[in-house]
Amino acid sequence: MSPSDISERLLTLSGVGKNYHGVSVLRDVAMDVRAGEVLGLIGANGAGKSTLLKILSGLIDRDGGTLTWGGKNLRHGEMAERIAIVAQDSQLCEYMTVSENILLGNYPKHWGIRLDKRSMINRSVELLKTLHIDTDPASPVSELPLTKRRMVEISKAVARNPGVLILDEPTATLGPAESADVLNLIRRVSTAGGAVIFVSHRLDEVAKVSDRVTVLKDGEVVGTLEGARISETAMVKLMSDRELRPNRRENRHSGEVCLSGVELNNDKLRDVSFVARSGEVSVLTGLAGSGRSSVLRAIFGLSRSDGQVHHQGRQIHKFSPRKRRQIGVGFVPESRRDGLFDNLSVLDNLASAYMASGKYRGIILRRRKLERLAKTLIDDFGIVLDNPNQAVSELSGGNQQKVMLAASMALKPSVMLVDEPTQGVDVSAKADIHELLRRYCGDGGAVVAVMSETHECLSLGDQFVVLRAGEVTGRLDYGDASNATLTRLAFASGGGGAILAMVEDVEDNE
Amino acid sequence: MGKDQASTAFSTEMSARGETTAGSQRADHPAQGRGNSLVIWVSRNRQLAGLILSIVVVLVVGSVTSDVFLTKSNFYLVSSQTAITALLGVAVTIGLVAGVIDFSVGAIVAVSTVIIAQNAGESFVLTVLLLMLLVLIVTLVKGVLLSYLGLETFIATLALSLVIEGIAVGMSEGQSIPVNESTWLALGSSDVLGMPVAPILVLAFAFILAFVMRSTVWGKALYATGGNPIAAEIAGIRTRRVKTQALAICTGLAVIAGVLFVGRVGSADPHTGTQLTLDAIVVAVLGGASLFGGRGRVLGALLGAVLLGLLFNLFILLNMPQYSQMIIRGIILIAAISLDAARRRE
Repeated sequence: MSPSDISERLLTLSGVGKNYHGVSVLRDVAMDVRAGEVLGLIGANGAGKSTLLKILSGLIDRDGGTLTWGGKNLRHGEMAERIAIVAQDSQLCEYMTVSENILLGNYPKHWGIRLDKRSMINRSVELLKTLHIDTDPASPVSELPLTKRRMVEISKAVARNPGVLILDEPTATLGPAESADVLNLIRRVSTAGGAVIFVSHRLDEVAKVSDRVTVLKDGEVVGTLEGARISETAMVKLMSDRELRPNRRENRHSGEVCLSGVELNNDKLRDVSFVARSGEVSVLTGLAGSGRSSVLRAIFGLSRSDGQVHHQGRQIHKFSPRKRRQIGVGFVPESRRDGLFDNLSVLDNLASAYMASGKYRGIILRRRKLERLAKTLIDDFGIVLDNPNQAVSELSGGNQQKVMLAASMALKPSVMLVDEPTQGVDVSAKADIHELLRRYCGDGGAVVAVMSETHECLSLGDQFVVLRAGEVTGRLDYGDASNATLTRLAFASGGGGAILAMVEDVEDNE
Repeated sequence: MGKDQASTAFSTEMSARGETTAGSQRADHPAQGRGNSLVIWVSRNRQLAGLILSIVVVLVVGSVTSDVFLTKSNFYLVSSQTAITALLGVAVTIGLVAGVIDFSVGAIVAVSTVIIAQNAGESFVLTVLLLMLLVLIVTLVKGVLLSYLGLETFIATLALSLVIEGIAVGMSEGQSIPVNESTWLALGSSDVLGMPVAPILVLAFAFILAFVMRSTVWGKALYATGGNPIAAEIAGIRTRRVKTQALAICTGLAVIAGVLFVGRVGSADPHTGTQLTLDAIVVAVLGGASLFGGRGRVLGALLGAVLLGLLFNLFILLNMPQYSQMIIRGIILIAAISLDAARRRE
């Protein structure tokens, strides 16, 4: 790429910020996109990438800052025509043909009415040829392999001739060989004059295809790498610059192995094994989509998997979720939508697992008994409410989260599986929930927690299992864990050897 | 009243929370006067309050516009008609609470009436056994469609209703068959304490079912399954089993409605299905049952049936043509489901 190409700035952002309910998600973001380049955009979970993409695609408004196009202010109305985005999940009409999809919303017509099919085919053939995509424009999308669909999706965006094309994780669902095809396509799109913003967690791919890489962290741009300075090591370093270690725990007393998964395999997991000990918080971490939640779902029996699950020495792999609850496995799902009954009261929600699991003896409800149970749970878990009979939907997010935890723990499980237990709750509720989980461990319980935020993992976890693309990339005891090691493992590409080399590489540079 | 409060004020949500609400409410505010507790009740049971108000309006309008509307013989007529739609409305409500919709209740009524008409002359016991067999078979089929094939109950029961109604028409050769056995007619003609027996029977069933819905573990499982099937599964509820059980109750109640139908009309009618199914759904939704599952109560369905029964009785007394009744039924259903959708959005 010649320097003259690079110098032309298409899109420039400066001072862009965004707050949600007083929480700042993006702060003072400044970056630019230059004609003919591929700009990599990376960042860990919660770095603000998706918010930034939403602002660029006009889905949400920024709270401050400017967007300029070729030096002039970019008005909201112009954004759709200048910037195209290819979302992570497919936006294709499965049962329509390739050319119908590519030209969707922009069909050539005779007399403004009848479809000009020949011209449709011609235009798509031409486009596919420019992009070197070998696909019959008349074949239905549903018949294409995944890679081709991705490519059709990209050509559909290119057909609108945007100045900047944003690709959000275009290779996320593809294997290495297939990814290479898509990466080549990305190069061709950029050399055809448009700029591409390539958003990905696959640092090796970002390094391979990008001319520059902008790194986001905690809502800020922490750096932009250019040319020879682009390397996986440099990217990881930017994403985790401050060194954080877990809190020292004085009274840690890990006990027996309570729950273990051995070589769990399904469409989302590959040979995932781990153990959870009584008295410990085992953290499963990794990037969104790395299979963390799938591990929990497989352990709880909500999704099928091959492999083994042992609970207190007993093989429970064939058990239904109901049975697992009964023998002492608790589960709190990631989304409160999947865990709460909005049509029921707080009391009923608290008693739901107790009543449902068959531990409640009898047919007719004994209100007193349930009210006593609810009161104990409300006190123990510090749930703030007006009245146990009020609708659970009236509670704050943090209290709803506590209700889910309490309902599960009412059965006195020996192990709790919790998926993102502090998602979307305020700071004090977060501290409360950490405290509750610690206390549960202190009483001899085992916790398996899925968590995204490195800081949070470190403040709660006793041992760490890091996943990437459905595989375990590392296991760390709390003595070895730091935000740098967790980030490296979460983004790691290649096998264990490569990761070790990378870790050493980073340490050498320091 | 703020939006959040308003949304929780709905009767159906309260019903799901059950009896304790009212109890603790009283306990929490002992000092509050009567008027105030009425206000609280209305604000928390807006659906029921609306229904009661509408019934009063129909009663007032009816007494002014028609001489026979408030007579005893008309009351007999309306109550025995309403008993059937009320029972079916309760059946559909129970299904909806569990998140399944049963479009086959009317067809089951039709086939039951034919079975009664064709066998009552032979043997009472045989007829009862056949009806029980009917409940068993239909429940089994519904269970297979729902649990093993994993079909949407909406279309599955609609298709099933065609099959059942087809069988009813085939058995009866499309004719209505008179029933002469006094045992079966007694339900339609006899009185208890000066009240027709059918509505009393329905009230008794409703009372039991209302208790089951709000005061048993199974009732809670029903609301939980319909309200959030995923959370219910995670909590350990066997949701498919609960749904199948709800459909079994629908089937059983529909057969009982068939018995009441024979008692009232004195004959079997293989073509009665569609109309009854639609009325049952109107009644359930009017009564606050949600098509999205997890909401609904027995009392609501009863009041919905009373409103519908009185309204159409008045139309007949005022000599309104048949077609206008059809149109109004349709409009009422659309209005009721719009309310349901609006409630969901809140």
